[in-house]
Amino acid sequence: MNTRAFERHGIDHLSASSLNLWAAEPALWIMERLLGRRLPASIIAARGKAVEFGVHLGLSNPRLPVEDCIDRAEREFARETALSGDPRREDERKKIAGWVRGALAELRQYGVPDAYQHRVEIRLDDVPVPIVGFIDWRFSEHGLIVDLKTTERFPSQISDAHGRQGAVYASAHGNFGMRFAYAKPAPGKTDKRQVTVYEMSGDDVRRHLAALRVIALSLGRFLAVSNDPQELAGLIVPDFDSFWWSEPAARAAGREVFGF
Amino acid sequence: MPLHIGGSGTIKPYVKYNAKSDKWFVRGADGGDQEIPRPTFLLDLKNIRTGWFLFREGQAPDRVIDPTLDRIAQQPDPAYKRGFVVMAFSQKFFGGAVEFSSASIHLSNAIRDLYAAFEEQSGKAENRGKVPVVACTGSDAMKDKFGTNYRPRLEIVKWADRPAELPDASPVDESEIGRTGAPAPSPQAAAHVPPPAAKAAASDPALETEF
Repeated sequence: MNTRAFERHGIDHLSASSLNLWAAEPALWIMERLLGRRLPASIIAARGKAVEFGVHLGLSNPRLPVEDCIDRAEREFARETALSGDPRREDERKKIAGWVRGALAELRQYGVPDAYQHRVEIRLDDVPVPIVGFIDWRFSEHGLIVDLKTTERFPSQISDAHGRQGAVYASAHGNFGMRFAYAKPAPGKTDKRQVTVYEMSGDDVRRHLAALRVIALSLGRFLAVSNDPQELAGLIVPDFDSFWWSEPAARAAGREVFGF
Repeated sequence: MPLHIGGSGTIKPYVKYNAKSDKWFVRGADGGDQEIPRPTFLLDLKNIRTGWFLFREGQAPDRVIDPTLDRIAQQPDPAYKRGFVVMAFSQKFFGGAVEFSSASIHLSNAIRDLYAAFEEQSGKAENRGKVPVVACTGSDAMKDKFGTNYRPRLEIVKWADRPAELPDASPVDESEIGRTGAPAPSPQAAAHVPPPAAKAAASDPALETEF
């Protein structure tokens, strides 16, 4: 592949989330990553970040009362979304306590993590730029990396998008186990669990790394078509019906970039 | 990008076990087999691959690797037999990292049992991130229709940090991976894994979107 394609567009690294976005909705990738029209974090992303913040406080200090962790998470959410006009803001804020409480009940059993938001970097064959990521928590005592996902429903399995993210983390950590903890804001009526944890297999890791490589190579070939981001944007059509464009600000920016 | 045609002029270092003679060999300086004592070595079982192998006297082996350990590639021809390929490392016995591959039924059985032990032990906290050290401590004579062959006794004796000479990578090239004969199994629901301390499809993407 043209090894300078990324360089010519100022891209010195990739990430699983960037490659997931390219695979799922290339038009949004172009708008955000190539044209620099970054959108503010969605209310859903903000709640995930706030919950993770509160849970981390509780993990790193096992004696910290859960209510204190909740309070700090709610304040973090308020700070992150201070300028958001999203009507879901108050609903999401109310549920933060449940997510933090449930996640701490599960993850405090893992002990105290020895790394948080630790940067990892891997290389994929023939991809000229590294793939970087930031793990949620590493529990070296158990040889585990754990990533927390806030959700309303338990997924039946680790999604491909999450699997690719986990494959990067796991690949950077030898044969550490890679787990995803899916937390709901409250137990279900029939299923009383509030958190379920899935672990990736070695085959999962290999499969997702292979997929990441193919996706990155595809992106490299696309970028090699032109040095002009606007010209590249003219080659792709967005799907505004997709949930990727559900934020009004995203659709407005998309109309400006793609002309409809 | 190089063209993968023609002769490379190099042969990958290897270690092999001759089940007929119960002897271990590495590639000698003259390019031929050089016998070595029963070795102790690091074995990268995390990255072991299985598949269909055709070993022919005086010819380079041909192989079609399974896409994953639980999905078997289509057998290219009845002459191909089930086998494995894995990287091993020992400066003392092998002179570095070497490929260990075989379609011997007795050696494969030994490796299968070794892998089961690896799976059991690799989950222990103290073994995470490490590679098993395997010792060949002897052999058992196995009588079958081909006469007497030997099954090496392979044991995980300890776990060690992964050396730089043994990268955490697949021992095979992507181009060697075959297609499965059967359709891929449908995704199954994952199972919850308990915390270590215990000792013991979205219709509305927004609802299953996690951050």
